[in-house]
Amino acid sequence: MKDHFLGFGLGLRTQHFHDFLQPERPQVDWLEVISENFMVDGGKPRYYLHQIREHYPMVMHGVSMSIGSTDPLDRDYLRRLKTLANELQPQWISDHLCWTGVDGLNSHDLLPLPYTEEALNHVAERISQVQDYLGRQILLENVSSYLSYRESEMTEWEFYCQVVEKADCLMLLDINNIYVSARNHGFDALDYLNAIPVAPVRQFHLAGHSDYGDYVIDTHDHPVVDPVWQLYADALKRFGAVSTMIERDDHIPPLEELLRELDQARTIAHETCPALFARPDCHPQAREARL
Amino acid sequence: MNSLKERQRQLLDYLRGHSSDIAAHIGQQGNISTELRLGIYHNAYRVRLRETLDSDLPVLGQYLGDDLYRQMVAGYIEQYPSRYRSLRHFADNLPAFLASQAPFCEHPQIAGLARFERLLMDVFDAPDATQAELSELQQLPAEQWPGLHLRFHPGLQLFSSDYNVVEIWQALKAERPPPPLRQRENHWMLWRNRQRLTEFSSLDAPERLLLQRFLQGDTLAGAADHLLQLIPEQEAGALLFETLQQWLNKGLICRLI
Repeated sequence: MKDHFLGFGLGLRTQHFHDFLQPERPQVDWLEVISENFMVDGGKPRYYLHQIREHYPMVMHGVSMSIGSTDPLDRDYLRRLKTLANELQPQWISDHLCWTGVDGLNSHDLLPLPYTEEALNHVAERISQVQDYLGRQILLENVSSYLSYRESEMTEWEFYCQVVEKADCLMLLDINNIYVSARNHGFDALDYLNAIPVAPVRQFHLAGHSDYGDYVIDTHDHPVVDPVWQLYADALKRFGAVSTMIERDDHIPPLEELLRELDQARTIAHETCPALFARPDCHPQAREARL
Repeated sequence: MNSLKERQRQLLDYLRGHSSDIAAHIGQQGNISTELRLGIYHNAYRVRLRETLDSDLPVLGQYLGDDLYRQMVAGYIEQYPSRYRSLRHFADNLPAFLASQAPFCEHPQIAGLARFERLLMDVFDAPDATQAELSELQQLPAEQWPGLHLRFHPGLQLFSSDYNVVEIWQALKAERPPPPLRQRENHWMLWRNRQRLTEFSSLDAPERLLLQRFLQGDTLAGAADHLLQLIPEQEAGALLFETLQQWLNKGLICRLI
């Protein structure tokens, strides 16, 4: 088992704060928090965050670093991010391989980059600056996308791999995003998966999406669908024990429902790689027996 | 200009509904048209910002009704695109927008409602601070009372309006019909209580005066002098102590200095 394998986690959402503070702690190995939600001065969410942190390992996941933007890096944002990391001591910090705005404006969306040498050098240089400032490697996540640029000189996965190698950063592989982009751009998701090097991958995201037939939108408002579970199994075979979590950002159900979905991830992991996932908490039946 | 920056400007212009050449640079793949591909991002941009306003100013939306609210959202998104890392601050300029743009500025209570809802958020996530206890005041030696200064909790906010904005907000929040608009000067304070919940209450003239004097750095003796302009001397001492007691119980005061 890799020493950075945290097990099976969930995104911490305000709707579930109280669940995670009950004396009988929900069976989640770790939690991912959206960094920007807690980069505020004070108040109840931060209070609960620190209470919950006492009981769960956490990782920080950002949506606003805008690492691919041609604007200067936002030093104030990075300072606040580092302050939160000092407070929470997360296992790692992640953001997205994308840009969110330019000329000081923010779209608050994860916009795709053209896959060019120019963009590659630009992003890799900025990641290095961020890592130097934070004093740690960061994870970058592949985003789902709905368009590509004519000037792209390589595939998305070639671009992703080269950025990670050049910047010496780590990878958060979103399995659902690979599926969504494969559908929207007409490539084979396995070609993507099989091109990713094993060593830098630290985390998997799983999520649901909205299927409109000709195209798919990454909405995070549905359960994970079967083809994404299948792709997850393929990813497990390639990457082994990688910390896995389920993201739900809209139509957030009661925690019990997400726990059942997380158990499905455990079951798939156990069935796909029984030798790797023999730990009791990787297998729902064993966990129920223990309870 | 490098091509990456140019492409980013073109796409952002498109998202904002401005003239843009981005379509010529989008790759063709499968059955999905370029218009649809760009449209997904354009819609997502507007929906995300509108949903932020929906959740941050729920009562304002009810008060305006669908048509005016749609007009407000479109105008605000165009005039004040987000310059923030977090959507938490996207609506910060909304009260100023409503106070200056027709038809909203013709009804000053609308900007007032927006200002009140923003203050509720400011109280909600203001910095944390220790809240002083009543016993600290009770244990203070009598000779130190006249020179006493107060440091207030960072969550304390003051709200003033020439209209019955807060009553309108309260009625809509409780899903009751809003009262008729009335013009009258009124003052409120908002704060975060000891359970970290946001509260607000109206301020009468003596309490408002005391709050303003202490916030300006007056000592207790200095604030008391001003109080005498409003109430008889024989009532001032008791009122002053009672007010301090209430503020301490509410968690308004961080430190007695």
